[in-house]
Amino acid sequence: KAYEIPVSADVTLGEFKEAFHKQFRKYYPTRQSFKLGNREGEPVPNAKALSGDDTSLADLGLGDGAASSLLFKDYGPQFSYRGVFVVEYAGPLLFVLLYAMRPAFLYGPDAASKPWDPVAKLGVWCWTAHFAKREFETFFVHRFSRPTMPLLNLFKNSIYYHTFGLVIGYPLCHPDFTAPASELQVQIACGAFILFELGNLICHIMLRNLRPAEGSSKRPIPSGFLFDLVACPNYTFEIACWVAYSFMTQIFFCYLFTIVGGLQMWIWAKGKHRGYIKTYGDEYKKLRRKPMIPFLC
Amino acid sequence: FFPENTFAMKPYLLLFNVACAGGWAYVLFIIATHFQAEGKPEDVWAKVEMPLKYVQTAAVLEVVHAMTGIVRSQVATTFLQVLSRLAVLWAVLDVSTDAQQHWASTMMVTSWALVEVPRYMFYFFGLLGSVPGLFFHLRYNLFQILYPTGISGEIMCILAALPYITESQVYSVSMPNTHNLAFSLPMMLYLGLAVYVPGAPFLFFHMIGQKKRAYKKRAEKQKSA
Repeated sequence: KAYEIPVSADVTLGEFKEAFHKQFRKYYPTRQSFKLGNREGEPVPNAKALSGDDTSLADLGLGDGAASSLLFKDYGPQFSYRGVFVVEYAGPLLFVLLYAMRPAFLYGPDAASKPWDPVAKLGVWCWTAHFAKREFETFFVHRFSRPTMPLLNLFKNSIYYHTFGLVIGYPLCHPDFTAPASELQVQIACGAFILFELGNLICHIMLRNLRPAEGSSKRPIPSGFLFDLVACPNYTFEIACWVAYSFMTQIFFCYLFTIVGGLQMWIWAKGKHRGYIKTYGDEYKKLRRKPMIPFLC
Repeated sequence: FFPENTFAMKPYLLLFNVACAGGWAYVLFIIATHFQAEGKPEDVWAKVEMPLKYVQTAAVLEVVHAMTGIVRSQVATTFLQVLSRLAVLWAVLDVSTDAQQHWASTMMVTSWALVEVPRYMFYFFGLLGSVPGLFFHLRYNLFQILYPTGISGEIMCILAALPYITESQVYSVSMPNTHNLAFSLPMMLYLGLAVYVPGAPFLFFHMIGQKKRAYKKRAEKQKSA
């Protein structure tokens, strides 16, 4: 369907989206996506979704002929990007704290008064610290490139984190929790966990400092620290954390969490690696970095 | 890892799809002849058990196809679909005679078979280039009846099997154990039932959306042909 919305081409993309929203109330600005096209509805070659709310439509290429109209696409219902993070991490945080109270309906009548294995207590502290750190980073460290993401992601991501929170928290706080036989294993794993958490935090802070502002989608090539070896050292440290936690607590569902999370992060790391190659070409390629695992992959 | 047109993948997939369609058609044949000979619903499982297990378990390969890229499906959705079928087949139906003899299990298996035959034939013809009208219409219309009957069948089988599964603790693992595994099959099944509440309408309406898009595409293709 074709609509005529009279605007001058030096209106910015952001202003245009507001005007579009006024006319089509259903499509708030973060749901709107536009590509350049001609009057017949055919996109220009290699058309990409226009971005840059402060850029004028003229500067984005809107003009005559092949790029004289804007082709609309609906991204679907959106939810706050930061909001999704807050909700998805709150689940694991909350559930383990609730399990730690050892409610009778889950663990039996005198479960709350039974002694705690010190490794289980350690596991609860480390888990809580991990997700509290994530919430902290969500509010104070991360600079997101987009204000929203598809609403469906809220449910997909929450189901993922909340389910693992539920199935890992239960055995962790169970009165019959069995610690690894070797105390040394627990100590080394715990030390490693703390170091890797710090490494992950450092990477997040470095990434934040590279991005000029919230909402910017700039991705300068990072350098220094583990960035010299891999595209996504934050993921490297994250997966290392969970490997350490798995050795520390020996919880089966944590092994699964580690493997599934690791796989997903590796896929994301490959994507980011390809993104750097696409944006920077040889400048990035000559650095000989791997996506997530140094020297390997 | 492998693009769709890797050598020998097409003949393999053609064979896979037609074999699965044949397997499910055989399941339907068994059920149909059973009732034609005035057999009772309680006795269906004994006859249908082996072919059903083979053809439904073979669906695991569809996840492998999606992972290797020789079929363009999303790994996550395929994995969930196959997992839920296998869970109902092996962790509910196979363990509980109450579920096996319930008429709902016959309704469920019949629904599965009636959906799967057109689905595999649809893929088969898709690989060859064009899907005949018959299988196109069956795939995008039968589900409107078969999703409700299949899903209610699954729910009823789970409910029928729960007393035995809870009492026997079959497939459940309790603590203490070295790797701190606590798995309660009854809990999982209750969770599954809860997921059906939003999940079933979601799947249904998702398929409705697929149907609209498929018909639109087919109409455009036929217009330009």
